[in-house]
Amino acid sequence: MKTDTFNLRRFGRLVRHDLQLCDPRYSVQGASMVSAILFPVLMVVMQTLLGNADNAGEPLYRLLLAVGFPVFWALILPANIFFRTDKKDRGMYFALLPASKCEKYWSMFVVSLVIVPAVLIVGSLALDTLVALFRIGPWQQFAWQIGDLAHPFPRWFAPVALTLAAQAMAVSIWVSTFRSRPLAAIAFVVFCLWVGVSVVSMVAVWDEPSASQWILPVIFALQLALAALMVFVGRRRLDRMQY
Amino acid sequence: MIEIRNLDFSYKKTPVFSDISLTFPEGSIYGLLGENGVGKTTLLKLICGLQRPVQGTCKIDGLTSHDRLPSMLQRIVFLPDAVNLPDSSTPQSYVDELAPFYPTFAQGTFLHLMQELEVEPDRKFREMSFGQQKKSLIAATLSLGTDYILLDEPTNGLDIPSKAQFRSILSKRADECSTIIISTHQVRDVENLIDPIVILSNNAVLLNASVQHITEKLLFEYGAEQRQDALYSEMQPGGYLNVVPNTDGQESQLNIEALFNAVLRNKNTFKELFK
Repeated sequence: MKTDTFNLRRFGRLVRHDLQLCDPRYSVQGASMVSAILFPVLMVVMQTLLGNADNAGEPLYRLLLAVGFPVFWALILPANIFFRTDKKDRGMYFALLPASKCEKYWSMFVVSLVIVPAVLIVGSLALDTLVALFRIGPWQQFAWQIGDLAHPFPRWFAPVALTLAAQAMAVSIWVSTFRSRPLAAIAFVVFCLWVGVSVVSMVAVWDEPSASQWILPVIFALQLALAALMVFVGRRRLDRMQY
Repeated sequence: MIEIRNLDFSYKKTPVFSDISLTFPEGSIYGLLGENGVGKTTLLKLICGLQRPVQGTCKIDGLTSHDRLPSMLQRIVFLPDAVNLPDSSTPQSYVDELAPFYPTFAQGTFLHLMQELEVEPDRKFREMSFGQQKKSLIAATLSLGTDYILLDEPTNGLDIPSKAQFRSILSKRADECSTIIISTHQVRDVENLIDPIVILSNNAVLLNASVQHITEKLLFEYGAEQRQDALYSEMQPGGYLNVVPNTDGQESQLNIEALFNAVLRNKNTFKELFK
């Protein structure tokens, strides 16, 4: 039947269902997501109160916290959300949920890569912006108003953030579907970290303005290759999953 | 209808089923019995598509179960023996998660069953006993309105009144034309409820027959003495329960435990008898 392969309405229901797993009222993962959003602001508040950081209110510092910490969190959170795919009891529940394997895979993909990192980063930045509106304490400027530093921002920040987000997706999906094969999971995580660290290091040490002209397409190609690999392997794994 | 044809299954090198064929037509409560480790749970998993046969097929209304197509999954629900429930969720939030995927789900039925089983739908699972969790899951499972319901040891953890409520609820459900398969060790809990009875033993189906067919072929006789021609006999207060071939068409009340023991001790005889 055609609707057994992909049905948009059912896919929407599945994404909503998967997002419910992040509901802080019912899951540790959800609670940790809220803390990931609150943490950067709390960090600045604590440093200001303790008076041990002159740069606590600096937009760049806040931007790094507000984006860096959630991105780091996005590395580990989706794996915890989707751990059920390879766990016997929750795995059975997941496998028997009336949605197609294709829908289940893409829901995992969208939630892990798009929604979770976006909610974490946007939520964290929005909170910082909200506080900055009232010019409280160190919040005298918006975090994204980084003045002279605005120029280098797009050159290194976007590729690094994208790389980390893609690593998050790669690690999450791989680990969640390969929990019963820890060696495969570890090998892939190490590979992802190696690629991530290499790219980040390369971007960090490269001081040529022209570098962004070629390094961005390389990073995007890398992300696409990783995504394609995961789509292929993840689908096969889900298709063959037995409980 | 559930159709299993020439199915082989093994866990790595341990064979579980060898060339078994079974059909489960609609509208009955099947009792799946067998010793520990014969593959009762595995058979349920094969039926709902959680396991893939090594050879042969398992189909539900013509759809191969291991393909796990949404149209097949909407028609079947499997309640495992033990479920690891999220501590902070409630029975209501659990069905809220599932309901959008089952067009036949009825919230009214869920609340009615929860009331009948005396469990509060908004109480957190972590605040419930194992039996209350089990009752919540039974209510959730039955309220999904699927055509096929697979229950693995459903009475584990239920207290005596709850077992009676469970039997009553399930009988009503069978009247609504659902096909229910119950795998259990606790045959007394489901006595008078299951019909037909399927007994599994090493790699094979030893018996698959209705209660009427069984009592046509076998006589469950209570007497003062142990009969020499008994396929199985058991000492009871006041005498013996004998299971003997029903050669002259007498009527008797089926005793599932005695039947089970008789089948295990006379595998070949039963294969011939119920061919």
